[in-house]
Amino acid sequence: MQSSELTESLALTTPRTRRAQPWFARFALTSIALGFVGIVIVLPVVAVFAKALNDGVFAYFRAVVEADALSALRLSLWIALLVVPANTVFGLAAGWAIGKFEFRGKMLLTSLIEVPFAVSPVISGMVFILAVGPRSVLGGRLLELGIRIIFAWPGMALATAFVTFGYVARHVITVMEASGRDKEEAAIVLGASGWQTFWRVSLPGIRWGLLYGVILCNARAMGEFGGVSVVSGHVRGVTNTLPLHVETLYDDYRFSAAFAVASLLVFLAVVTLVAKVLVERKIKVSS
Amino acid sequence: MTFEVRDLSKRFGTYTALQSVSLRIARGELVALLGPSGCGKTTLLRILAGLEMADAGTVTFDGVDVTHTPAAARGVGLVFQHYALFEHMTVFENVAFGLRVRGQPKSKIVPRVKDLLARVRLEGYADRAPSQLSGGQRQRVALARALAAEPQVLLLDEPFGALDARVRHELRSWLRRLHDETHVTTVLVTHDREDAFDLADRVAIMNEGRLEQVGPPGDVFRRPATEWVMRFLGHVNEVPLQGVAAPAVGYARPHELEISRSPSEPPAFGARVRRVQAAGALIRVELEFDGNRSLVAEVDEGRFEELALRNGDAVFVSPRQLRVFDGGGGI
Repeated sequence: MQSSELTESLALTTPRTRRAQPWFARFALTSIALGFVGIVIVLPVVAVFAKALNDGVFAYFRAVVEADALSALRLSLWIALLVVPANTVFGLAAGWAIGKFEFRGKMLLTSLIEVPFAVSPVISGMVFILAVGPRSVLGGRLLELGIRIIFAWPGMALATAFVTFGYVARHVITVMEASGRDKEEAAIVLGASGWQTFWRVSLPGIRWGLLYGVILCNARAMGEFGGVSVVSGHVRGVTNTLPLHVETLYDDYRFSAAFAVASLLVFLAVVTLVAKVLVERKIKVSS
Repeated sequence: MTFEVRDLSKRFGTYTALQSVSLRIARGELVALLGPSGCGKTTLLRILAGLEMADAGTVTFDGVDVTHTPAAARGVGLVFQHYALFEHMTVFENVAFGLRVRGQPKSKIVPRVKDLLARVRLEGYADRAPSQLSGGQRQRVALARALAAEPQVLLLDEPFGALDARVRHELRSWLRRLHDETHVTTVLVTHDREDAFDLADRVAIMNEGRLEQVGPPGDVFRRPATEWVMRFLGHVNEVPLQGVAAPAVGYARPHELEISRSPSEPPAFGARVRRVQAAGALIRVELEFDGNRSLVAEVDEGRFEELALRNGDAVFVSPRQLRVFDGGGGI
């Protein structure tokens, strides 16, 4: 009922406001918006590809399939493969709990999920160096056992997990809250266990919202730079992810190669955007 | 199944939802919990369903204490105001849900669901999605889903609340017929007097977490136990009582006021016609007396023509029946 009232009022106001604006105001506003997008987004993306192809198509592909580049790509994928499922499971559990139940510490959990959004990614790297770095008690003990966390992929995965911690949870909470508790209550009264209710009722009800969160989490994980940079140690071909590899190449004055690898990240962004739009459409249709 | 709640109390923070409510419902009975919003009727229903736990008191089903039995094990059917259908499942799967989670074999599920869909007159809709159905159809699916696992008690939470008037009427009489066929003990929560009177064998009227009165619709309407119930169930006229030492009022329904042209013996008193509303089975006459105090009387057409009432006419009003309540109960 609320939503129909909303659409009704929108339908009433939209044409009126459109008519109320004189043509030059509309023109000026549109130009400012387009101009801003052009300068901040389109121009840099075009620049990336222009620079990447500066030394020719051949140099572009050579930079992309170079051993160090491929190893960086592998590491980026590996970290995403570890982090995204972990944050998905956590996000689902936290989202279900926060969205559907009342419990002690709910506010605290909600605030904690927001922490990674609030602090700089560099801090996340620092935190892990303090906690499990070679000079910390825990890190020292682990090193004795031959387990290296910092300056190796486990630390990078941890830093990435921290930065992308809330992406799934946030979206899941939103859709869980929006769908209310009626359906879960109906399922429970019908004799379903908590587990059955989750798998058969809650999860299918939020599947597109979940996918949306996973896509954003993945994009953020693959693109993460600051936190990973601190804990990586920048060992070429070993602890470089794609973004770090771009930086290494740039520092070596290999600009075309740097931009060629950067263009891979741009491709990833485009794929993410397309997937995001498709999922958003699904969400609109199913709700 | 007979069930009984005894001394149920429930608080949410500082808000008292139920205060020591006791109610006994007989096997096969259809009882309506009637009251304004916030009176605790939904809380009581949710406690019966096991979705809410009472702070004090007991719930028994056929003498077995189920106060602490989890919802999933109670064997109740629940229908929500906004249907709460599983949108990603077909109508068939919605109805089958309760049977599937109980691990019933397919050979039992298919005929049972088909039978229920026939009973709610949705045979051709098994493969539809809930979003393709109208409100009335969705509520019938919700009802079939609740009945699928053969619940001992059927609980209906404002089941017509989201439907328009015409569908509401249809569904109401249809639900009464369904109840007469199945004889499932049913509790209906509603804030609508018509819903309650039309459907229920007995009506339990609730106010501020307490039961004000329980009884058959005719009884509670004709013999309200408190002033509050009297006011809640319809228009009330306050008539000053004559020949009593302390100032007191009696209460009368509009149809209980007699209008005449000539003065008769007390308790008749003089009044003036303010307005006549003639569209309806009974004709509604608004009157004023004592300067600015108003009354509403209802007379049938024959009497109205006999009296030939016009605005501003001076008449005499005599209540055929006057109720007096002692003490509180006021709104």
